[in-house]
Amino acid sequence: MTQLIETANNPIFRVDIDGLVTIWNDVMTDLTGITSEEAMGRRVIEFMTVDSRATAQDHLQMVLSDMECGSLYVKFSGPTDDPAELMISCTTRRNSEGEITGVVGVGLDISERLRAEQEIRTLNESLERRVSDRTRELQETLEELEAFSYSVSHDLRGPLRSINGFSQAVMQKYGDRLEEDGRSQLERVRSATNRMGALIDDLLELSRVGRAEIILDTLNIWLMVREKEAELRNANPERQVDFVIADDAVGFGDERLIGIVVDNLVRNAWKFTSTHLSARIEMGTQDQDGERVFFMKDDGIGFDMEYADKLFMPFQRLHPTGEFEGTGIGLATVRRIIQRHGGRIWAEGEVEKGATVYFTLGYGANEENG
Amino acid sequence: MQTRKMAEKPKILLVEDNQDDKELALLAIEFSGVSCDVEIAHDGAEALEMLLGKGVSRTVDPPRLVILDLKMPKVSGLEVLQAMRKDSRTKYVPVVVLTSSGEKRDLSDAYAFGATSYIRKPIDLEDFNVIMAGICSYWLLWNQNAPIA
Repeated sequence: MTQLIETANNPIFRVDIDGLVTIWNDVMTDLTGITSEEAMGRRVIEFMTVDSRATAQDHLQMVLSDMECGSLYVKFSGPTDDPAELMISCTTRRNSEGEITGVVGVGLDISERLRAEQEIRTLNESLERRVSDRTRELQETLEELEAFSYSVSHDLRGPLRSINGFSQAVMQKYGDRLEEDGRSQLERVRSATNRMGALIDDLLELSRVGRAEIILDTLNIWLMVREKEAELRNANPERQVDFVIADDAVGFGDERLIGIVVDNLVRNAWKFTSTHLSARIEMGTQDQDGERVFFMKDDGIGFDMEYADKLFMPFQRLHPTGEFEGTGIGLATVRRIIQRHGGRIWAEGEVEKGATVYFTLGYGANEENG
Repeated sequence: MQTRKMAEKPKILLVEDNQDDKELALLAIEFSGVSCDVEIAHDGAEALEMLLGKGVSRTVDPPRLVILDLKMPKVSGLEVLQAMRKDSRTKYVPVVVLTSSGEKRDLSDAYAFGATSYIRKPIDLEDFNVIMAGICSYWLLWNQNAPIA
């Protein structure tokens, strides 16, 4: 038995009923720096760190009173500053009469494991901190950007009103004294300010949708498309456009924001089919890997897939201003709204064949509404 | 009580601190064809003095309509509005607020303080004329037979 203890790979010690060391193996010496000679006859808890002693004493007493105890976690003062951390299982030793004569403690050195765990914990904590710092920084940047675009948009409107207003005042009051090209130039000042006004309004909207609170609701997206269709037909009764709208296009989202999405997508489809004699605009849904994907498809002028990623960037226009009206901010706003719903948006197209915009409203949106 | 002379043009008080915006509002009123006399307050403090100052006799007619810019230094449009609603002389005078941004919060604050309408200053002067024509004639008509304090 003693031989076994001496040659074991685990730290093992034995104490008598007073807690005095009677066996102390080499592994214990390695871990604590205390030789077997030094340990013999001294109380085992003396070799432990101060904070471990009370627990160890209690535990030892319970084992000696023949009570069932689990493992004991203690720290032995080590040869260096680092204490050795051991998980110890205690077993009683008895004499031939069955009386308890001492306790054998078999330890497992967990210092390394604890150090590794601590390291992982520290790494995790610092990673979490870095992620949260970065998220906060990003959030702040985003808020600053939105506040900036708001105030710029706001302040830009003032001078624009003056340019427009006073050039029109000149036109109204002195227009008859101007040559035809003078009047036409003033008219161009006016139309330019109106174009810039639309740009600013769209920028303001982009900034607003970034800040808007999202209130989720069940939305009949097909009905929103129908209403937009009616509005556009009313404004351009001469157009030949077939609308095909799937009545299962229902989803969860913020009514006002998704209204902006529908408005932009339907108007785009309407606008970019306007050079064709007749057109077909389709709104529907499809299942993609268990996710519901909404799509808006037209057979209009389409676009070159090479520029597909530019489509959703602010100020990016794939067609000249003279051909199609627009500020180039609409789809950026649409993308921002979809992102805020936790969804994705992408587009496919082919020149003169048409374009299809796909979007999802995010899993989160579905879950929140059960 | 005093009887209003019907031939007299209704009086509108325009409160606007920005020189350009003031002239544009005057142009819009002029082009809108609404028949009225426009008095001008160049800031909130002047507006308060003209409406509620010590020198203002209780027998003088208050303006039939106030067109009030919201963003003004020192005394803001909202403060003018608040003071007007507390005073019996101007409690029921219609107030149309002018906003540049059309921010919802500004508007809800204005309505909470007792504004009657708002105009979001449009870029295009022609739009401004049309809006001014509609809003001014509506509120002037509404306030035609208002009792005079």
